[in-house]
Amino acid sequence: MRTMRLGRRRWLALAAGLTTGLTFGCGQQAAPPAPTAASSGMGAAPTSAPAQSAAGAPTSAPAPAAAAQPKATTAQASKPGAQAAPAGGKRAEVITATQLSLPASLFWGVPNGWSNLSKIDALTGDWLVMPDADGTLTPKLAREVPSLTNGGARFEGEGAARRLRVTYRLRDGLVWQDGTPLTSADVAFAFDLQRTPDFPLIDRSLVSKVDEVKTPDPLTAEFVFKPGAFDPDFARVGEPYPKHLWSGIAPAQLLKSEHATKPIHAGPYRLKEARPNEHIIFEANPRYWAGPPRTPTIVMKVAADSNAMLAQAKAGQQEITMFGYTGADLLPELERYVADGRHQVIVRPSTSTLIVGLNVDRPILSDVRVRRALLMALDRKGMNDAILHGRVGVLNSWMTAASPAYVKDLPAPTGGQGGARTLLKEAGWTPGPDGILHKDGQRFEITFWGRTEDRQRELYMQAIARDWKAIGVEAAITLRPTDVVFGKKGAGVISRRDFDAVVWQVSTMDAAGGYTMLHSSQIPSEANQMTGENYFGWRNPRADELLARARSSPEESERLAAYREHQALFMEDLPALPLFSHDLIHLIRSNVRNYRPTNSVRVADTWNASEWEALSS
Amino acid sequence: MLRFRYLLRRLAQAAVTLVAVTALLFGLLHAIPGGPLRNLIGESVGADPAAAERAEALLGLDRPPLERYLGWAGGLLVGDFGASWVVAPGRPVGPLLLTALGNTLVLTGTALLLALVLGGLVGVASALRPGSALDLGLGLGSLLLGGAPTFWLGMVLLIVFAVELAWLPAGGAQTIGRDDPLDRLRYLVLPVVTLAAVQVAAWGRYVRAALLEELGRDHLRTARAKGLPETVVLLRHAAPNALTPLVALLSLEVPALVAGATVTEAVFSYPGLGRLLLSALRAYDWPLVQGIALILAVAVIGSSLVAEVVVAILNPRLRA
Repeated sequence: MRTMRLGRRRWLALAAGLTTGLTFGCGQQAAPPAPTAASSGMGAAPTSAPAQSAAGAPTSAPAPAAAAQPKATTAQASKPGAQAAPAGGKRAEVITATQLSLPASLFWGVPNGWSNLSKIDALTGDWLVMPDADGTLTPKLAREVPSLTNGGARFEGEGAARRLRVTYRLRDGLVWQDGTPLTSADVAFAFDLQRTPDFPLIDRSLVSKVDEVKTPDPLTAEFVFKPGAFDPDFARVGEPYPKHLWSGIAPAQLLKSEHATKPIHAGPYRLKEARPNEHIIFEANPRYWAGPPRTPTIVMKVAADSNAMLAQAKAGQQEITMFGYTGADLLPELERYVADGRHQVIVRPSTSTLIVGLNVDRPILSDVRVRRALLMALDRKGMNDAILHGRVGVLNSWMTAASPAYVKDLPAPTGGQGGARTLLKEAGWTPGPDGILHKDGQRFEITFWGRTEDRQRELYMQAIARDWKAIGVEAAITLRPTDVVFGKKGAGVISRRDFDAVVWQVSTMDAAGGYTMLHSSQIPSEANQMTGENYFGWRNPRADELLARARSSPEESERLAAYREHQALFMEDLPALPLFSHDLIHLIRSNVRNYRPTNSVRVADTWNASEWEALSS
Repeated sequence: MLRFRYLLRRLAQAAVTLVAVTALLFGLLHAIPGGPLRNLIGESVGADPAAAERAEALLGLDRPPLERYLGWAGGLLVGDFGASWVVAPGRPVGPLLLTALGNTLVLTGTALLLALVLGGLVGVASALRPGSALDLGLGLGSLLLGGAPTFWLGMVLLIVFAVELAWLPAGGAQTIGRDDPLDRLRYLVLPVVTLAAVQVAAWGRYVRAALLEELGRDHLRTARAKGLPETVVLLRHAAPNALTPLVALLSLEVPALVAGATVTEAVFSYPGLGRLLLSALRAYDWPLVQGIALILAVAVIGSSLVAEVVVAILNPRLRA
């Protein structure tokens, strides 16, 4: 066989052609913009541009003094779009934020209700008042936060007939995103709808305390509470729904209507494009009451897991990476990464807790000795050290240190795995031939739920299942997508109460002060129109009484005392096994301004998205 | 006439195979222990039988299997693949599949093209100098490249070029909200190179073997004796004969490329059919799984059909 030769020149030409093609493909680099003057480093929240008072700005209210006041700012509102171009460079047209999942339904504010504000809801909509990054209420569609000191809230009458009246005054010229005027009639409509049993709302704890809503004029809505009724969150009772869009649809059908995919509200951004499981694009609402938002387009996208989120951040594909609690195991790597000054890590101590929720109505888990044994068997410190580099706090409460009523040193069942076996033996559980406990012919096996997208949670689950196996309890780890596990109003196994145990990240304190998650009236059932989030099925009359007092007393000292005793009862009954208190973690590019994430998984980090901006150098 | 009848017969066979595949697909998915509902919401379902019944009715699982199959197959005839259960609840599966299929075809098509060009060059270079250092080097390179697991290679490329150097995006198909071909090209580079790498090695070996066999034939000696330049001898006389069998081989590579993209799409979060399949499987979204599996089956049957027809055209003796 003869060797053939192509000329060297031809080979060079071929190689050059291929190289050119590949280079052309790689030509546009995605390196993040150069850092600006912003500081970088752990725990340093990005600086905020100074808010500027708006023309026709709301009136100021003095800082609350009475113990019963909700935390509220004086009524200042910025006009984001009206501000001059910032120092430091040109504003980017798009800000992209990445998180682990997006909601299946985009129906505004439902079924969560007032105490669970999603990131998407806060982009498309506005509440009358809304918590900021620290949980302090700020006026949005209302001119001010009603309080007892500014007269927006006041008691009327005496004795048993004493009532609370909360008055909202809407801003002038409010319009929905479709241009229809937004008036007090929309606020009254929302109240009527929230009281309708067919309307699929989880949390009616606040509106159930209200007798009626009066609308003396298009800009005023007055909420008249029932005699003797009070709620520390009274200032959040009002919110508007678009009456002109929703009123023609049966309440039970609303979530199946087009508004579940194309929400129209009064927020800073309008939904432009939504691709399930991929991304949602929002464009600025030119009719926003505070003026057009500073960044014309916000993209919320999904990554497969926290490692993919980090890789995409490093590749310069997003300005904001919302790890939340899932970033805890990545913290050392994030700390190393931000050393170059191009990014910042924001670590927010939070009200969030990681728990193993138990369904105490399941016979196998109904005995409190069993639940105590399950907690005793867990090596929570070991989990913290091995998975989270010792960065989180082991918890013996349903609250965290971020709540003023938190009791730090509550006792937890002790005795380790030996003690757990003894306790289970007392409860009648004895080891079978396979090492798994048996009682009355029943094997001790439970279904242990978690979500697919969360690698860190899966590690916890493996560790927990290992510890339980050591005492003869078999936990079948069952991972499913978020919506299959945590879907609201019967859409997920948890809300259907069709589970044994679940690893769950919750901000219980932000669920109406724990009421909707821990009060026995909030166990979802046909009888209460499936409202509430007490999926554990916890019933304890004393705990109910304490929680009701904590949610109805105008005196802060009385509320704190009730909460302290309640935490002790929780640790005795253990409807859920507390694991850790978690910081919430975010990675942002250093050129991003005004990103101020909240301290709760139930309060949207997008609460001030209209002020976000990213500056080029 | 003979060719037309042959084509008709093959088409009929493909249609019958496809119907059998749909029945098998539907049957296998629904025969998984526990059934679709229990797989979707776990073994614990049954604590509330009424809730389970409502869920079954909602998903249409309360009808007999045959009726469900006929309903699904009938829908397919009019382009209705059903509605997604979990990944995009309530949304029709068809448009989801179309979008993902489009992305996958762009990815796999580009990768195939790149593999053919580079594999062809490698094969030609090796065949022209058999036993040389270049041939050995390319052979060794092909062996290493062909043996590298796709997920490993993809992750190495991702870490080096996206995470460390930040030259290229780490995942996705385009900058969201930006419709720019150059931007799309940037997102394609890493997954295409990953997918093409293994194929380059394979095609290099195919081309080398075919050319080596062809280069020893008498008619090439005659061509050289006529004084034709080596380039002409290679391109006009050797290559057409050597590469003809590879055309059929190419058809058979298509399903492998579609299926092989699954791992690559997962590594690079590329929104194609493979990633959608993984999402659907993890979510127990049976209508979506059925739709994707059907597309893969069509790819296998279609490419086999094309391969047979091409081979028959090239070699009439096989038409009988």
